Amino acid sequence: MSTKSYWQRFERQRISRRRVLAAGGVGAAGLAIAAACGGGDGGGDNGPDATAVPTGTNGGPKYGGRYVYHIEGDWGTIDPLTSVGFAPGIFPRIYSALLDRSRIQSDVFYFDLAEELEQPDAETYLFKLRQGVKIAPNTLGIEERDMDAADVKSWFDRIDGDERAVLSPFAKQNLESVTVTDPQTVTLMTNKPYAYTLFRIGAPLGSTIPPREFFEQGLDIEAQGVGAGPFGTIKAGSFSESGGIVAQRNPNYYRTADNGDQLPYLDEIEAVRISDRQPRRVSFLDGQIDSYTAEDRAEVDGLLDDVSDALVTETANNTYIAFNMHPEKAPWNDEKIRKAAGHALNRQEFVDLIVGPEGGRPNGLVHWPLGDFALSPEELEELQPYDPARSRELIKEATGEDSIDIKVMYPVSDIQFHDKHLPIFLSQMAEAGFNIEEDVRDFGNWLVNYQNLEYDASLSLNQVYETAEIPLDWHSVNGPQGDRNFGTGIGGLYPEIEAAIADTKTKTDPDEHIAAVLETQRMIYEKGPSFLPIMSWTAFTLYHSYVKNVPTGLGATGLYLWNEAYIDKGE
Amino acid sequence: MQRYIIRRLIQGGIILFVLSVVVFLLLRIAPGGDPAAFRCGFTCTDDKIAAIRKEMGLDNPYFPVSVDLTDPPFVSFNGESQYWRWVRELFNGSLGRDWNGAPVADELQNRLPVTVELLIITLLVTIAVGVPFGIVSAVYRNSPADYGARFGAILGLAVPNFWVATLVILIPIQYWDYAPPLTKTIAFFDSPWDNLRQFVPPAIVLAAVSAAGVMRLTRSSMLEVMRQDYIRTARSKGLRERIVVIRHALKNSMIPVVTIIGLQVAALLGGAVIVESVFNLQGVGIYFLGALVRKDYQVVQTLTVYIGAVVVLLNLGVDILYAWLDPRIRYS
Amino acid sequence: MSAIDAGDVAVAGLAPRTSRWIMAGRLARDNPLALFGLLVVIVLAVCAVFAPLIAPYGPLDFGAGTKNLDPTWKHPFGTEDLGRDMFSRVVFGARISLIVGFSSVIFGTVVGTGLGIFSGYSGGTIDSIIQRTVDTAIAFPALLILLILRQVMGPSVETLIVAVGIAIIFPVTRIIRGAVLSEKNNQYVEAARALGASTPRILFFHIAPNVAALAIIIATTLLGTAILAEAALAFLGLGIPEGTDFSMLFFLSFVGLDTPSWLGFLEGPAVTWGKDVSAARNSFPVHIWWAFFPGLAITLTVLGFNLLGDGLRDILDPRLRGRL
Repeated sequence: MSTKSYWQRFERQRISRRRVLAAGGVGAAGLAIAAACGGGDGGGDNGPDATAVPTGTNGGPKYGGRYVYHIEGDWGTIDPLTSVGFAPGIFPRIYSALLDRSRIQSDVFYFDLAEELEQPDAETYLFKLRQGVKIAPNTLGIEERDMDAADVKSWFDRIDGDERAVLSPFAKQNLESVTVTDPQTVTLMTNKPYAYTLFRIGAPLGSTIPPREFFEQGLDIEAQGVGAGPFGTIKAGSFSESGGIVAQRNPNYYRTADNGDQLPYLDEIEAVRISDRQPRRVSFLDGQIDSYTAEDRAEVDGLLDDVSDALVTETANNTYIAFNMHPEKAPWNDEKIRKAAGHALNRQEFVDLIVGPEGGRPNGLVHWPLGDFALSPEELEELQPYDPARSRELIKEATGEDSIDIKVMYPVSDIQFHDKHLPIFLSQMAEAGFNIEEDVRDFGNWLVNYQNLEYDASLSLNQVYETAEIPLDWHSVNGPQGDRNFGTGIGGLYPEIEAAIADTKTKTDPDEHIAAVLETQRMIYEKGPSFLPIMSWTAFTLYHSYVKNVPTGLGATGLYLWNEAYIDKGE
Repeated sequence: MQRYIIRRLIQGGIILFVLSVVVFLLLRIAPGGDPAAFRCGFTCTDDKIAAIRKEMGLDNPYFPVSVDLTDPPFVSFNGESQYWRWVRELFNGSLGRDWNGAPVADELQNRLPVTVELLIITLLVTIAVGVPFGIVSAVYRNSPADYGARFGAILGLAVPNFWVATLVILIPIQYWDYAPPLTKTIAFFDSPWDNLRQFVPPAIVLAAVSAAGVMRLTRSSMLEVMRQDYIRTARSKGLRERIVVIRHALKNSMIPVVTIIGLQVAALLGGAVIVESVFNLQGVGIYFLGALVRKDYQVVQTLTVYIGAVVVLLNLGVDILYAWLDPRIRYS
Repeated sequence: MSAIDAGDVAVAGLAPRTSRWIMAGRLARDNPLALFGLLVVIVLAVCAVFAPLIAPYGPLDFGAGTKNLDPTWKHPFGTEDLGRDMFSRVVFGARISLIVGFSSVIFGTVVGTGLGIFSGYSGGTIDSIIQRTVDTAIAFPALLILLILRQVMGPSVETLIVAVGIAIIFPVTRIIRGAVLSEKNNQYVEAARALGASTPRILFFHIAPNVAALAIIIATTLLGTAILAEAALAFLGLGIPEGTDFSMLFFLSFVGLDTPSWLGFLEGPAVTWGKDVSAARNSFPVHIWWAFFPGLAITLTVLGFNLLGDGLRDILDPRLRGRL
């Protein structure tokens, strides 16, 4: 187990995006992470904490074996163009992407299909592609050739032609052109400086690039997959929406371990679908799955009683439940009432009751897992103190009454933690002088009303944001989707806030970007934010001890590092 | 008899048609959200949802014919319609795609064997438990065995199956570190032992209610038969009680039992929703539940009509069986 | 005069009272199980009505105790994972179970009886259409019907009652229709018709009273089923949303009245047993007691109503034994 706590890593100096990319370019394998992984040279000092010491005593890594993990919900199809369900977990294993983004620290990138990036100006991204990224053997009739620039181009063409594509909004709003100069060079141009370009390209959603034969020959990419990733072949017939998927080792994979071993070690990776927590946990205890993401620290401790030698990794979860108000409707158009709601929430109590003090932290406007983009706990203590008496004063000032009637919409759901947030939320709001009329709806009904802004206020389900962009957009008049779907913020009431939010997106320099994001949050706090993230928590993932070389610190989502993991049951 | 069967089949067809229209409309008049909204999710934009609606065919009118009462002409014919598209897909077997774009026919192909095996084992348990206990209870009426069996049946009808299913997983893992296979469905021919470890516990849980019902029916039917004249005659001939029970009473008392077992199949499908969820069996029941929560029109409609068809055929089958077993019954 | 009157009243009052006591005595002797059922139902009703007085804590008071406690004297049923007292939650849970059970059964039985009488008395095409519908609906998995109705109508106490009630209509209709068919040809109905009584008159004054007893028996036997149905829906996450305000006199709001303040103890947050069993599945370290007590409460309740229903049937109409 990693001895370094997750917190220490955040307290360390933030790594500049360019520096990491440059460091990556230097390594023989072209990977920032490769050096750190092998426990070798100093690249690991500033790099993400990916210490992976082979704990097997009987010799080194072993080839073979199958690693089985669980997903929680529907796959849908496995077309990376549109799939946003649980399929993204498998895409970076099958396909290559230009870049792979660290799931832990969203401004750290590793090169994959690209091995070099030049930025002549703020709008141009010139990628040099790696040679020898070879497609896995397959039965679909796709040649075992190297991936090249034409594959990248055909993928962006496909995104351009389909509004359902995950990257479609990015392509429409920000992408100017994708040009191929030679088989190893692709140039992306944005229409204006856009700070989140690399985040979009490096996300596991919609950015993994399948071989162009799929589209030229009209192959069924919704149920099949072949790529140049470490597990580049989907076992024939193994994918079903209801069941799971088996991805098989790509013998052509370009990476080797430091000792010269061809990667990956595992023969197969299997994802099985277990939607309920109880069978999930039981099948982990019984060894039917090799890893399990626990609900909180208490559960981890309980599980360790039974599987004491399991490895535990911690990952900050970019998920939270938020309270949002419609700032154009009464009473939320009143700054004082919005601020009263801000003081009413005792975020620490949510943390303590739901995940325990070690399991999470209160959120500011940008959630804490985003590290440097979030305001410090001390500053948040000043900006959004828990103070129900102050709430009552503000309500009194605004209305002349001791309390105020509000209507809060929320969905019926058994989504993790929502059930637990609800009673705490209701009791805290009542304490602070808000008389809540509950407006409970079925999930679909809630979703549609939420999307169409048909609410006064809503306790909203899990928001998952991996960058600061959308958390800030919630405060823009156009809301998180940029077109007044789902939400609208106080940017409509205060033009200076609207301008500040727009300005953060143009800061392509990492340090300026962070400074702008922090300053914008302070501005919003002054006017009473209408979107309040409550708390985010840490995901604890347990691995059975026979899974070796698990990339600690990166948790279950450190897909890229899975190339070096292996299974040794001592048989 | 043939004419009776044909008439019942026509009636069944009409029932299914009405059922299809009712479920089609019910799903659509329900407030809030179509499957496109679910698919579109939290990153929905107007363009995206429009593209998804188009892909799903939700931008078409409901029915091929619409009636307008305000403005002549009253009846207008639409081109492509949602209902007609669905009916076509029902008949050509493609069954369309679910909310997430996966082909429904493929899904059913994977899921149907799971539910069918679950139901078969459940029925076997139901018969193996319900019938013998029913007979014992009737033959040794008012004995401790009778009271025990009857109390068991009363309990079986009262215990919520989701609770038992929950405890059936919780208790063994807590005290004996044992768990049935929960990750994915194991085919019988791949590993018969693991397959049975997976299916027998949920089947037993599911069988509690149906076995209780069958036990009670067997008992009352047996008692009814034992009162009949021909049993008295058999006894007075000096036949041994065991011969009387097995040769004479059992055969006739089984007639209503056989028919009720046929009807149990449909009822068990409801219970399958629950045990499949608890035991993570990816069958039809859990599919129906998930589809319903997501307003997955295509899946809910299709499954409802299929289950309706099964019900209609089972009803007919049971009636025919009844007539065949009991020559006193004549249909016209 | 007055003395005689008083005597008459006394005699008149005494006779049925005695017979009622005798009946109760006979019930206890012949059918101890039914008596047990009655006892369970009474205990439940008391729990439901006086929940705030019986429960030591509020059902939503998190931190009433330490999280995930096993049963102790202070928390006889233990606590769950927000530290809420399970005994209090089980006591409050009786409210939803009983209210949904009773209301839906009353709704379903009334509508079903009306439909059954109508269908049986009309005969002909109307009868056969209704009967075909009823046959199919009865054979169709009831839980699936419920799920569809619940999903179509949305989450609230009222919609849940109507959904469960609709599922109950079908079996009631079938049984009542059968009874009406046999009553219809009875001599007294024919006599009434010969005397020129109108159809509504025959239906309401001659047939309805004769099937009323039957309807009451059916209703009692269906109560357990309705309670199980509510619990199953809650377990599947489709029940009444936890913690929403709920008044046992919720039906007053239909006629525009509020629950009177002196009956304020009938109001409280909605807690359901089925939901607790479902939540407990996810508890860890494995906390069997959390799932155990709400499930036991459901079992006892359903058992109570079933036993009471069986007993009532045996007393009022022994011919129905085996048919219900």
